[in-house]
Amino acid sequence: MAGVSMFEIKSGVLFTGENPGITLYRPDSDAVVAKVSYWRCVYSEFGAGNVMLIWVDPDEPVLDGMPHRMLLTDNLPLAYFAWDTFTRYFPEFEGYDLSDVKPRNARFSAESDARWFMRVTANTGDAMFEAAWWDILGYTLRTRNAWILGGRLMDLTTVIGPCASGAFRINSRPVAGEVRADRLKSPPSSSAFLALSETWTERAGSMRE
Amino acid sequence: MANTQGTVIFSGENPGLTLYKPGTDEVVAAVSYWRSVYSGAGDGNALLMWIDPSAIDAPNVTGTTILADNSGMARLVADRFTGHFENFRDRGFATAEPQQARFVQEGDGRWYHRVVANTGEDVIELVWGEVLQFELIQSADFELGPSRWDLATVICPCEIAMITINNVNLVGEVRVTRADDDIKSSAFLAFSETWLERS
Repeated sequence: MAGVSMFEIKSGVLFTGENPGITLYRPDSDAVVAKVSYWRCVYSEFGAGNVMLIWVDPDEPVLDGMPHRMLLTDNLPLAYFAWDTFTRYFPEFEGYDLSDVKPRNARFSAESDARWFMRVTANTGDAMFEAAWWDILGYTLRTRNAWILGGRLMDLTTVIGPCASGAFRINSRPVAGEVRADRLKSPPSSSAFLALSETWTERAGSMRE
Repeated sequence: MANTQGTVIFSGENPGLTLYKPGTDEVVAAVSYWRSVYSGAGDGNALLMWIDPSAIDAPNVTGTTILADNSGMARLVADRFTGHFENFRDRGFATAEPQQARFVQEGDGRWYHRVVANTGEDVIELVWGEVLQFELIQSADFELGPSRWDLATVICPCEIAMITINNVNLVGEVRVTRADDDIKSSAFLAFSETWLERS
């Protein structure tokens, strides 16, 4: 590659894959009705696989007796890793604790044309959970360096695609909530977003909490 | 988070594999596999291959071949990226017509990765194994073809790799070099790869 002006190598890769998320709000209020964080891992020390972390307002009728907090996965150690290392420290999950939730096995299916949409389903055998994103407002490559998560010093690289629309369905019934997007910001932002080609690295000498 | 200025042209995976004739520096196969999770031409898979026609009896898929389940995406990666890579330049990728193929891939990034492309007449299988290292590479403002790029990718050199065509193993060897902590291999995985074209 000719003309390289800057080149950096980071070891300590913790995770690489995808990590879209959705927060849905009750219409005409700031009350959160659902939060979903989906992790598709192609490499971590716990292997590849899928994890869907779910919090739903316990009064939502679509739960129909199901727990309102769930960790669904096809790789149990990866589920613990995703929650314990990353999601529990994300600002959008503050106050939405899943630490005592035991992961459940699920079969995952994902399809997309990321110009237009992404859809992920998790099937536990007795229920089906579906997260969907569409009306994508563009993509930006973003980095955040020296982010302290759980006392560990990390760098993040990811491609963020905020979406004007999104949904979360349980057994094909949608949670009654809406996405909050700001199209006028530069770049646009949204409570529903794709996060593609996401890599977390830990800096050498970082201390575990 | 800091935003990098420019246009995301491709995001996904791009493992590569070059095999050499045993005991020589002669390339018998150069393969660039692209799995797009986002591009301006959409998602999908593309396999860009140059295989020495004398190395194996498979006339449909030796020489310069592009297999894809999204011909627009294949054209994009051939024209903007692979056609400018070492071992792929001057192999005719600019004019090769993508052939339709069905793709399957599976893996555990710790250990192995496997891609199968099935054209209906030929089946090509690529396997990478014994992953030696995982490093995030970030290159800023470099030239490839007529554009300047930023690139982020997780590079994982592999000790072993193989190509089979119609269940026949293509004879060739991977080249691995080690200098202190720096490991390079002619067979590597490339996960979470994003190409951003500078404005």
